[in-house]
Amino acid sequence: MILPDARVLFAAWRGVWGMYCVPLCGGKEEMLQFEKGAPNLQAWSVLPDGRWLAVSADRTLSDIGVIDLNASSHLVNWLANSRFTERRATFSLMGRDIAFEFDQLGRTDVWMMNFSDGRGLTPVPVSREGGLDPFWSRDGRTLYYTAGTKLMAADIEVAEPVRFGSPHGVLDLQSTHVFGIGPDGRFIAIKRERAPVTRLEIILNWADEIRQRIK
Amino acid sequence: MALSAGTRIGPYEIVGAIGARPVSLLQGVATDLRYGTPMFDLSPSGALVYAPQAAEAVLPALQSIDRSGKAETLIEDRHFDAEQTRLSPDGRYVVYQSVANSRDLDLWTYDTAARSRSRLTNIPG
Repeated sequence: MILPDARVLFAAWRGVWGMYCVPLCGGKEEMLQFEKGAPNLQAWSVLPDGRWLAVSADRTLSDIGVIDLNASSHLVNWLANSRFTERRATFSLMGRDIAFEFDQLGRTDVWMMNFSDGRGLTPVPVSREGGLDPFWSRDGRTLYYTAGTKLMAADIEVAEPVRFGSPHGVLDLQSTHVFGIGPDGRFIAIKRERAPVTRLEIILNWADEIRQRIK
Repeated sequence: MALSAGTRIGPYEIVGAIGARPVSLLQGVATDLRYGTPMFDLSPSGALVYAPQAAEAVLPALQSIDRSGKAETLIEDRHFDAEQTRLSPDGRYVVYQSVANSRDLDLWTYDTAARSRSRLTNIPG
């Protein structure tokens, strides 16, 4: 992911598995030391001031937390660590709220909570019939997410606790993953399409075939 | 660097290696649209089941979409993975993984203003 100071944070194997930074314009990589005991740490978003990094890690299934990048030690402050899966924690660009995926209700929904100084307040569900891939409008007043083929939006009020309007459909997009908004207000997306899978093939005795090939 | 017993990769520790050379068993396996992972599985009896890749598959594309739903393709890349693609906080840059022009998975960036892409990392791993 891209940090506000124009560095890219990524996970990689460089002799050891870890999180590394490299300038957006290219250059020398630098390893960042993060808390041990947070396996499969993934960075999802960062506040515009560069202080708080939202992450998930495989602990009790997947949990979400934040890391204070200004602190001397990069410990994870866990925001949600239930026995369910929480992931894809995404700050509003104003830094007031955090949205994430959560499957406590038996399906994956988009939830959100107020965020203040490293702490998250009581989370509430936003999507009503499942939701994935939350991201925010540039003014932090609209939360977008995907439900099936639809891009949904919920208007967020500046309030504590969280208040928001009924989610409504914005676009119906086949095979398209929308993940953000550009400076010009256009959605940025990845489109992956193919003909539907209509046939499965089964290979029996494939281990014998491998043995033949490695002789 | 060779992987050896005791080496840790994330939460996993290598306890031994068989040292075999990998061989290709199948090509043309369909990939999951969301994660880009190959669609195959093994049955308890050992049979391998997979979904064949559709011949008419088109390259995944990074798109810019206006409020009416009209899409403009910015770039295409066979390895676009929605799970591992991020937008910069200012919305200008996209960072993504690709093996374009390389045998290894590298990080690439796309500048939506300059409409250009560049490789960011070039180290195996």
